[in-house]
Amino acid sequence: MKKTSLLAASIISVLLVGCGQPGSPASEQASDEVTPIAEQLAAKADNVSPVVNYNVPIEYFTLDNGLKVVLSKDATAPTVVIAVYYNIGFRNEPKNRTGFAHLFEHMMFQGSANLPKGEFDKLTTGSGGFNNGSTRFDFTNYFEIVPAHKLETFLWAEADRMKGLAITQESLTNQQGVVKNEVKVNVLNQPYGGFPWLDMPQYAYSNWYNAHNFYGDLKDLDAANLDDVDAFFNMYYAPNNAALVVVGDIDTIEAKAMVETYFSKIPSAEIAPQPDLTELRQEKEQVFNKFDKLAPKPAYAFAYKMPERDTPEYYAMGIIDQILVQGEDSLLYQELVKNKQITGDIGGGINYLLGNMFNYNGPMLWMSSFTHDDNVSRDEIKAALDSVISKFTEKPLTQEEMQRAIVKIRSSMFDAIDGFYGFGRADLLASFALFDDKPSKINELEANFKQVTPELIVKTAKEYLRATNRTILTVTPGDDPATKAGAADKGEE
Amino acid sequence: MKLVKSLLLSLAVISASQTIAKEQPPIGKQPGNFTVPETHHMSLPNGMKVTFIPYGATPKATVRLITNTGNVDDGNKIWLSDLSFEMLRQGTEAQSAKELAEAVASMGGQIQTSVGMDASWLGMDVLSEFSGDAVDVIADMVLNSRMAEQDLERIKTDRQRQLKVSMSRPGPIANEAFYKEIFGNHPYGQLYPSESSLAGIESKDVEQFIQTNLVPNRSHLYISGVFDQKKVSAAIEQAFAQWKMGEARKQHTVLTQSGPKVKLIDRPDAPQSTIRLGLATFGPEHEDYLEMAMMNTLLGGAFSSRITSNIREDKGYTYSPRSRVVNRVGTGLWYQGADVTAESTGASLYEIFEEIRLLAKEPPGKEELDGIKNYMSGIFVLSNSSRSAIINQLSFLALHGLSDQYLKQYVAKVFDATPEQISAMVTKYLTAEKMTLVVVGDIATVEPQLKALEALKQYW
Repeated sequence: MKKTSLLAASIISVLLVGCGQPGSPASEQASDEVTPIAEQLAAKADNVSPVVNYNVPIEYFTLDNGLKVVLSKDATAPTVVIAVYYNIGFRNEPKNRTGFAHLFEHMMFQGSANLPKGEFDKLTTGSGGFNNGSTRFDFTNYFEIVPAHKLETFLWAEADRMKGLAITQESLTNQQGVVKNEVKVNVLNQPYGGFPWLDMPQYAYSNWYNAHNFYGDLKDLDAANLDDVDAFFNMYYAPNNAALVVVGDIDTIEAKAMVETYFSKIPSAEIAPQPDLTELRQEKEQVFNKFDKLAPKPAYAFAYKMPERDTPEYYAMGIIDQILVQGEDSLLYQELVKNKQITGDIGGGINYLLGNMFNYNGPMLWMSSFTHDDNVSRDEIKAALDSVISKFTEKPLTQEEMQRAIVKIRSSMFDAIDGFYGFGRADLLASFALFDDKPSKINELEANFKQVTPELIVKTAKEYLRATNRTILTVTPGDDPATKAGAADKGEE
Repeated sequence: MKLVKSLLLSLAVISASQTIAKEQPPIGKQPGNFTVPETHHMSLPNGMKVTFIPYGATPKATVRLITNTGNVDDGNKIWLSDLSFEMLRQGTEAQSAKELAEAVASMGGQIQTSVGMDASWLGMDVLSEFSGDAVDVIADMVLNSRMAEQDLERIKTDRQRQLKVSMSRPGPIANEAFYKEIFGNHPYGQLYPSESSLAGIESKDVEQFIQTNLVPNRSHLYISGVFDQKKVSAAIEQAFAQWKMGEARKQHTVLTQSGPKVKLIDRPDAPQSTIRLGLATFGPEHEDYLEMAMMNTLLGGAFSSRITSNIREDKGYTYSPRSRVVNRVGTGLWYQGADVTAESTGASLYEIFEEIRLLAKEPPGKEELDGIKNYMSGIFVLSNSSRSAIINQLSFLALHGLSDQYLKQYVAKVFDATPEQISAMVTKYLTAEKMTLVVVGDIATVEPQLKALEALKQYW
């Protein structure tokens, strides 16, 4: 609904279900208001989780100009999802322009050759659907969910803005104002603003690209000019740096012809090289604290650096995640909520609050967080966490535990594949097209999870759930006694 | 002066953009027919209603027991219903909470509970082959829940923390004040407990709440998705057979209070002001409900609405403004909410009042209204196109006493509405002199701006 962005909606949905969760910008407890359905839908956009054991129909081809195209028919409802993913995420933005990838996302709604400012949104609502965009670690996406008969309209509209933008200084200034308000409403005027989703990468990583403020410093946002907009568009927004996915009630042959009509003449461009995102192996536990004068209660977050994407260990971490923190049957929930009674709810996951385990392409964290009362010490918390984590290295999981994790993954896969009116499927297909040139990976996921053995879980836990691979970030209510600015206290343990 | 100037500027921007020659978007094909998914019904001798909704091909089912109870039945113990539903999750006579959670996880689901003002539910999404098992688990939780003192104590501690966190956020602070101004001491006006009233809730209150309110004759079980209806209905008849009927729901008289009223809540140094501006209206059973919803969509409810276009896309004062129609049984309210730059608080309210005034004064153009009609009918299709969305639709009808005809006629009624009717909704119901305004922000910055606003003159 709102052009959300990096914050995207996942945070909201997570916060609405969790009572102990810090970090909800919009978790208003105002009960059952009639939120327009489009907004409820947008709020679920990336709450869609992993997938397995399903034969998703896929038509995949690449146009001569390099645009990757995936078509996937699903006639359950007379609707269609059109999604364009550009291979530029917030971690790749230029060093003197923090927050620019996200600001640029807003510019994509500010006018193109045939759709002046405001017309893209009017075209979407006037067609009976809604649109949104978001900026994530490794991509920026734009999508529309509309009645199926409007497919051609939105292929045309997406092609129009892929060809080029028509941005004025007025609309840039306007969106600088909007984005600054977005930062205020989600971070600056909220307790736990940015904790842990925006904060943790800044503490856990050492490579600037992974570790800078993705929302951007307000002064960098103010400094952005029209030349930056042009340069960014020319560097990243070209068909050979994008994937187009269509999911829904379509005639595949007809859809393919339309895609060719509207996209094949857009020229390809020379794409800026990807920066080096490498993180060295972490050898020491990192512990940081942040003071928050708006927060009434302390909070605790911890993160581990993930195994490389698509390795056997990566799938093992997918299973560990299910057992560790997903649901009330999970080990952390049972220990921290029920046994030790440290918190009322614990959230966590891979690409936590900004996506899922499939839609990224670089270093990643497994992360978890919760609020707690003053009468619990951080040592007690750490001891409780360690007692749970050590179970993975002490002995292999039972058949029953493994089995339950697989069932949970399978069930959530089904939801992802048809979740959010087909957007969940589009998101996976786009990620696999963009990062692996292989959208059919969607149909191989279950097999990959099933290959994980209890022994591999032990091996993975020993390397990746090491305390020395961990970053702990805590929130202490109140002003920072040392520095009035409330800056974080960097230090290692 | 400044405000007038910015209004003129915005008009200039709009007309300039209209002069650009452009290629027209292809209109697409003819819309297909859409029919609301078919449903099957049954009811048990104890009064529980059951609705089956075969939907889609994905091998999953959503099973949800919705009961007409919630915070409206809290009495003076606010959040009693929240605690009660949470206590249902703490295990049954046969299974501990952990065993229960593991059993449901093995079906591919999670136990979910949701407490609303007028209706609340208990349910789960499971793999299709476990639909009958899900029914058994839900019945077991309703009929045989463990009510252990130590679980209630733990939950109360967590809720106290949650209360503190909520009351540190500007949105909940604004909502609490706004609903209280409109609904007063009625439960609709009491969103948050005090620390001491929450502490005062005891096991016997929870047991009493469950016994009185969680009864079959106020409950409706919905099953949507892919499932074996014969097997599931047999499971339902057996599992819920022993559930005893209770009293019908008590009616609460709602007296709403109208403005003009203004309430400023200080949040020192806040970079934004959190605004709620609105007033009591009516519930979904009212004859003007649909036109009101359309008016709301056009005015501030959709991204391309007038207020959003103005204060976000033109002025950049805010990120996520929205207007809403809020439904309660037999009543409702309308409001505009936004978090705006502190320095633009007065300017934002000026524009909001102006948009309300303009829509009252002049019916919208045909093109604009057609856009809204298309939007609402498209969203209607989406709101009948997922397992949980269909349940939400049907339970909305049931709660407000609307018939199936509401869904069947919805799209036709949307297309029948005239520009004059939409404009008349503003004249009739959004009376600018009767609104309640709540602002949470830095009073030193905000108050002088509000005092200077003509539209608020009679509010002080």
